[in-house]
Amino acid sequence: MNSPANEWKQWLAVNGPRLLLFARGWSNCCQDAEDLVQDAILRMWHHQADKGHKPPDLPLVFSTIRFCGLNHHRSESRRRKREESVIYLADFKDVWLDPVLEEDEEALILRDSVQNLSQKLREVVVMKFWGGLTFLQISETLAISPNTAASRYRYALEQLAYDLRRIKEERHASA
Amino acid sequence: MQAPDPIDPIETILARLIPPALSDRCQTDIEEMVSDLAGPPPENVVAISSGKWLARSLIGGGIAAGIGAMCAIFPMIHRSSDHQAAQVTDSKTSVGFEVVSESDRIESVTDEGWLKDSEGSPMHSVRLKTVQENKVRDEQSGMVVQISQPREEILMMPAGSAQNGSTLKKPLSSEMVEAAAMPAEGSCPVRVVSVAEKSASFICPAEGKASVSRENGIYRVRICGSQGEVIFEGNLPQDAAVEALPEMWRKKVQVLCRTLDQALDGGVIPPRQAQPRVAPAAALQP
Repeated sequence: MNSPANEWKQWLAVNGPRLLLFARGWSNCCQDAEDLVQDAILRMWHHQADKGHKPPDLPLVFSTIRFCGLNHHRSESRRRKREESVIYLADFKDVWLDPVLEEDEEALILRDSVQNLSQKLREVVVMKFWGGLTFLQISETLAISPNTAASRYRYALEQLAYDLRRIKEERHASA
Repeated sequence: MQAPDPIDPIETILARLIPPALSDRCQTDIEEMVSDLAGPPPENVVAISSGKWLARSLIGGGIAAGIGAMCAIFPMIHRSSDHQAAQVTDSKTSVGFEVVSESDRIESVTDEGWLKDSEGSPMHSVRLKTVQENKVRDEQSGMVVQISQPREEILMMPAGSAQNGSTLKKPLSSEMVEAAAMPAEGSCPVRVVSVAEKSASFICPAEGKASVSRENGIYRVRICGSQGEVIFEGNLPQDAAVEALPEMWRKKVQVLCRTLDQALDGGVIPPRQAQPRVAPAAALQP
C-alpha cells in the first residue's frame, strides 16, 4: 500500500504546476508563488490529519492558496519597508506559462494577455483551463454562482480573442 | 449559417501553453517537508531531515527577514540559491539593531459570520488574533531581544453573489477558514471559532484536535489524536465536570467551552475594537 507521504508526492507531481500557476496570481514572483504553494500544502497536510492524511481536493487547495495569498499581502506593507533596500538582480524573463512549441506567436501573445487579465477573470480561466475544475467547483471556491463562473470564463476568452486580433493587426501593420 | 464561436480557437491556442513545473528546489523541499511530517517510514529507516523546508518557511515569512534568520539562527543550513544570491539585503531596522528573525503567527481565528460595513453592505467577517514576534540583536552588546506584539484584525470579505436571488454565499466556508488557519509551524496550536456553526476547535498538529459545539445547553465534544484517531466523543452538560475527558484535554476543552460561550453570547468584543480591513476581491494584482 502507498504511504501517505508517497501519495502526497505523486499528487504534488500531478498538481504542482496547476497550483503554482494559480499562486502566481497572488504573488510578485515565482519564488513567492512557490512559497505560497508550500505554505498551502503544509496547512493542507495538517487539515487532512483527521482524514487519514489523504491528499486534499483541488478546489480546497486553491481556496487555501487564496487565503495564504491574502495573508501574505496582510503583512506585506510592514515587510515592504525593510525590503526597500533589497536590490533585485533577476534579469531573466519571469513568465507564468510556457509554450509547447517554440516561436508560437499566438501562444506567446496569449500568455501575456492571460497575465494581464483582471484577477477575477484570470482565476476562473486558470482554474477551469489548467486546473481542470468544473464551473460548479470554481463557483464553490470563489463563492460565486456557477453561471457567473461560466460567464466570467467566456468573457475572459472573448477578451483574449480581442487582444490577439488587435496585437496581430498592429504587428501586421508595422511589418 | 451560424458564425464560428470566436472563443474556440482561443482555447486551442491556450492548450499550447502549459504551466511550468515547480522548480526542482521547491519540489524537493516540499517532498522533504511531507516526508518529515509523515515521520519515518515503517521499515524503521530513519531519514535525516535537512531542515530545508523549515528554511523555506522562513523565506515565506519574509525574504529579507528569512535570509537574516537563516544566517543567524541556522547557519548550518544556509545555502546560496539563485533566488537568494540575487538579492542583497539590509535588514537593519534602525542604527545599532539588526533583525534576527520575524514571525507572524495566527493564534486564533473566529468566523463571525455576516456583518455590515460602513456603507451597509454585507461582509463576511473573520477575526484574527495574531502575534508578531521579532528578534533583534543589539550590535553593541550582542544581546538578542524578542519583541512580541499581539494584535487583533478583522478581515472583511465581500459577499459572494446571491444564490437564486435569496441567500448570500460566504466567500470562505468554515472548512476553508480552518484550513487556512492551520499553523505553518507544526507545533503552534490554533483555536478556530465559528459563530455561525456554534463550534470551537483547538488544533495542534502534534497533539490532535478537539472540537466543541453547543446545542440546547449541551456541549458536544470530539477529540482526535494527532493521527486522526478518535479519543473521545460524547456530550458534556454545561455545568458538568470534565472528569470524563482524558486528563491532558480537560483544560483545553474547558477553555474551548468558555471561548464558545463568550463568542456566542457576544463577549468576545475587546475593549478596543480592531480596525476592520476590507479585502477587495480583485485588488491584489501583483
